[in-house]
Parts: sequence; C-alpha cells; structure tokens
Amino acid sequence: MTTTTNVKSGKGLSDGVISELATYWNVLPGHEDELRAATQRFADVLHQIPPDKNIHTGLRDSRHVIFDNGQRLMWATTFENDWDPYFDDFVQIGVEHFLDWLQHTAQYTDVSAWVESSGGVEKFRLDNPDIEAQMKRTVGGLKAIVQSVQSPATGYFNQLSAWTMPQIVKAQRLQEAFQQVLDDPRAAEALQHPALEPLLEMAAD
Amino acid sequence: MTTDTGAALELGDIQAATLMPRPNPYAGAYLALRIDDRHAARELLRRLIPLLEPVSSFDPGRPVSLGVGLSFAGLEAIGVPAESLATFPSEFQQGMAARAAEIGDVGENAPEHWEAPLGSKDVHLVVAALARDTALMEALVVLAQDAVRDLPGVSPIWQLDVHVPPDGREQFGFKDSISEPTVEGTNILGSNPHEAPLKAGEFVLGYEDENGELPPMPQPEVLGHNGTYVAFRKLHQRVAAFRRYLRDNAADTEATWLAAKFVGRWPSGAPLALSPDKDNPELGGDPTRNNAFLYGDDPRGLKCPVGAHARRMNARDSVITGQVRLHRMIRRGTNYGPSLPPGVLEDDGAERGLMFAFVGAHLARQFEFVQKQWVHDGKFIGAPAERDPLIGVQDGGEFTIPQRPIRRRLRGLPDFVVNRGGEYCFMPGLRALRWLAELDT
Repeated sequence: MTTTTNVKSGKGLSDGVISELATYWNVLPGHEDELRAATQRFADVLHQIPPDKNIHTGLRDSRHVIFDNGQRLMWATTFENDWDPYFDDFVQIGVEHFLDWLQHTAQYTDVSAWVESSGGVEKFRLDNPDIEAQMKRTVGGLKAIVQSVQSPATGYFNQLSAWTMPQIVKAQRLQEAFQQVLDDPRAAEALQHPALEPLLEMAAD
Repeated sequence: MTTDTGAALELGDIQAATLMPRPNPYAGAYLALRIDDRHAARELLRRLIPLLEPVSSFDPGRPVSLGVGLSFAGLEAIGVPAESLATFPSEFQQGMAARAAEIGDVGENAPEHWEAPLGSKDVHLVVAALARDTALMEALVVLAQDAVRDLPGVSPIWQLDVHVPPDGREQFGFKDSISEPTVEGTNILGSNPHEAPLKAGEFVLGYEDENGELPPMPQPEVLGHNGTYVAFRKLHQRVAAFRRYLRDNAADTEATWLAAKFVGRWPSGAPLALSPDKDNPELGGDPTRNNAFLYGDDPRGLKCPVGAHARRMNARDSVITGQVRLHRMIRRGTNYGPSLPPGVLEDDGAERGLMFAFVGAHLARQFEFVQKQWVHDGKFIGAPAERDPLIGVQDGGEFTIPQRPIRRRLRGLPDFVVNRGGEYCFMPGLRALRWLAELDT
C-alpha cells in the first residue's frame, strides 16, 4: 500500500490500482432534506452510466453520508489510477451534477465564485470548442476547493484492488460467453481438444 | 466428543421438546388455541405443566411427550404485563406474518394465502404433542381436548396431525432430520463428530452464546430464563410437480441423481459428500456415519453442489460469506398428509407436506437470517441468481450442478414447496410456565 501526498493529487491512500478520496463538507442550515435528495439524484445519475462508459471516469464507488445531526456531509469515493488526471473528465461530463448537491453546502460560496469566474457551467460542456483551454485555465480552482475539505484515510483496503474495471468487465463478458458455450450440448466434446484444456478445467462448476 | 463443558444448564427447567431428539417413528399433533379468558388459560397451563417433561428426566421410552409455546399475542392474552412484553425482540412481537417480506414469504407464500387461522392474531397457545403411535396420539389429543372442554375461555382453533414414517423419509422421499447440533452442557450428542459443540446460549436463553454474550432475554428473568423461540411453518410439498420436474430434466436413470443433487443427500440419507456417485443405504442408515462429514475437500461442489439444500442449510467448513456457527439451529421436521404413492406423477389434490419447526435463542440471527440469506439468496456462495432449489421461492430461478466435464445448469425452476402459514412462539422453561400460570394481572 502506498500513500500519495502531492499537492496536485491531494492526499489519500491507494491499494493496488485503487485510490481513495474522502471529503467533508458543511451542510447549509435547513438544507438537509434537499441535500439528501440531491445526493440520491447524484447516485441515480451514476447508476445510469453503463459500465463501459464509467470506465472512462475510473470511478469505482461514490458515497454521500450526512452526519453530525445533519450538519456535515461526507463524500467519499474510490477510483482507479490517480484521480487528478481524470478530475478534468469528471468535470466535463457533468459538473452540473456536482453543483446539484454542492449548492447545499457552506463551501458552495467558493464553488459558486469559481463557476462565475470560469464563465459559467455551460463553458464546461463538451461542445465548447475551447473546452481544453477552459479546463486548463480553471479546473485547478475546483480541485483546490475539494482538497481543502479532504481528509486522507489512515488505512485503506480493497479486496479487488488488483483488478481494473476493464479487466473485470472483460472477465464478466468472457464468463457470459463461456457459460453460453457450456449450455450447448456439444461443448463437452469440443472442450476435449487439448488446446482447450485450461477452459475444460474451468467448465466443471 | 464430550458435551459437558460450559455453563451448567438447568436441565430440570428446560422443556424436553426444546433440546431432546424426537423418537423415530412417531405420530404427533400440533394444536393451536385461542385465549379469550386469561384465567382459563392459566388454569390450562396448570393442567398441562404436570404433563411436561424437562430435559433432565426425559425418557425416550415414554410413550407421549408434550411441548408448549405461546405467541406474542398469546402472552398478551394471558396477561403478561406490558413492561415485560416490551422486552421481547421486535421480530417476535411482530409475528411471522408481519415478517413475511423479510423471510421470503411472498407470492403464493404470502400471509394472505395462508390457511386460517395461521397468520392471524388468534393463534395464542401452541401445543406440540408426540406419541409413539397413532393410537396413543389420538388418546393424547382426546385428553387435551378434555382439558379445555370445561374451560370455555380457551378454544382449540387449529390442529395438524403429523407423523414420521418408519423409514424417516419426508414427502419427497428423502430421509430427514439427520443433522443435529451438539449443544454444550446437555450431554446430548449431535450427529456430526467433526463439529465442535455449540454454546448453549444459541438455543436456550440465559446462557453464553457463540459470541461469548448472553442473548437478550425477556424480563423478568423468571420468564425468560431457560426459554427459547420456536418458529413453525406448515410447508406444502408439491410432490407430483417435483417428480415431473425430475422426469423432464433427467433421463430415467438420472432422476434420483438429479434429486440428490438438489437435496445434498441420497434418498437413504447418505450424504453426497461421502457417497457422491450413488446411493449407499448402509451409510444412510448408520447414524454414526451419515452426518460425519465436512465440505472442505469439495470446494467446487463436484460431489455436493454448493447450492444444494442441505449444504446451504449447514455449510459446515465451506468457504462462504458469513460464520456458519452463528446461524445454526435445531430443526424439527414432521410429515403431514398422506404420501403420494410411488411413481404417481399427477397431483391428487391432497394436502401433504412437512411441518417444520425451528428451535433457537435468536429468531433474527438464526431463523430469519437463514430464510433470507441462505434460502433466498445466493450471494453467500458466489451465485447471486440462485436460491435454495428445494424450498426457495424460485421466481424462475436457476441451479448449478458442478460436474465433469462441464457443469449442468437448470433454469426456470418451479416452486416445489409453498408455505401454508406459521407463527413465532416463545417456549418458556417450566418455572416460567408456572409464573405465567400464577399471574395475577
């Protein structure tokens, strides 16, 4: 297990191919119920992203927890690789989904100022011909806000840390195809070929 | 293997029906009574108590045996004070019908389809009566009926006659009630010499359990101590459908093999773990050997499928999610209804099945956990789409039989077992029953 502590990538632990990020936000008074609903919407958006597409974000999981009698919010994620290079992608594919729940936090004052200074949400849309320059110019401000509320894990374990999502998805597809083969009565005979011996060993259960 | 370690159990106060193995064969009856007059119910308890045996003096040679339990509604009806009722666990307070969604009683198994009065608040007091034969059983039932005849405030509202045939086989044709846990401190030997005795607190309240804790106990102590919980269920078995499924999915010579893969044992009781390829009646009939096995040498399920009924219900040393010893239970299974004659493939409309009874100190951790996780989920064995092939609510589920060269996967499984109803009961110790009988509320 290694610790990543440079300013650019923030602070967090990693295990295998996976890194963790945990952030703690202050909930605006009276906004708990709206925040609760917004975090559910955020999770719903993530659920709707097909696994193939989600591979591009590297996101393995995301969790919002409201605690301290509704006064604080934890947003914790794990992701593949270092988050920093992919944070830009995150912003481009849906900064509005972040703003949806961020607006109920005390830190939104800073976020809102960042949005305004960046020229507005629409500037981050993929159809902005100047998107690349826009990101280079502005996204560091949002990262700084996120890192300002980040606390590093003091211990991190992930049982599937040896495998990336592309590997897992590929294994899943292979499994589905293999099971389809095994459902064919001719499979028993076909798998007797010496070249398929490793597959035959896997065919019994 | 010794069992006389751990806390000294008050075997003279624990109802024998809680821990003692049942005779085989036997006839029996489950009687449910409604309490309309708490004073009459207390009088009934006073009459029943002398007939109840504790574990310490249980004589397997005695021709009859009784066990008594009360539902939460029954404890209310007999006048247990509210502050005491509040100390029972919430799942017991709610009753089995209210827990239907939790334990997989959905669809055909849902309480709205249950046989009346099961699932209603009228089931208050349940008496389980056992006798060596049907004639004795009938005499015992007459005695019980006489006992309530002059007590108009207590009404028999349901009766189910049960029996265990001489070959000990349940309606699908498999020898049942083989696996029994060893309970520390009872001197009652379980049937698996490879399993360390389980702490008494897993089965009787007031003693240390497998977590090294005293399970939550109803108060006052006199009521809870030496008591346990019982969950009984009337499970209708679709024997003809089971046979047809075997016929349709296996060549004639394979039907028994296929059924054994579902069950985890051969019809004789011989476990697949010890006799994977064919039945072994000698092994199946030998109580010193027919449960003396583990699954550790068969991690892929090539001998006994990891999803087979018996392996799900007691995974022993299999690699699964969870701790097997925290979810063990005492099971009592007894046939009801006539057997379907051998070879018959069409349903004759008769009600037949298994009266199942769970005994344990933790309704939620034992009975409800097993129903929810081990019967109706496959994640714990790495097969989320699979449920118990024999007793699970299938919803068109699948079942994998590992075998060489390639596994066999059955899809679109029908439901072979349907729950006709049941209830959670508290089976008090004898001192507690006397306390209930002498209540002055």
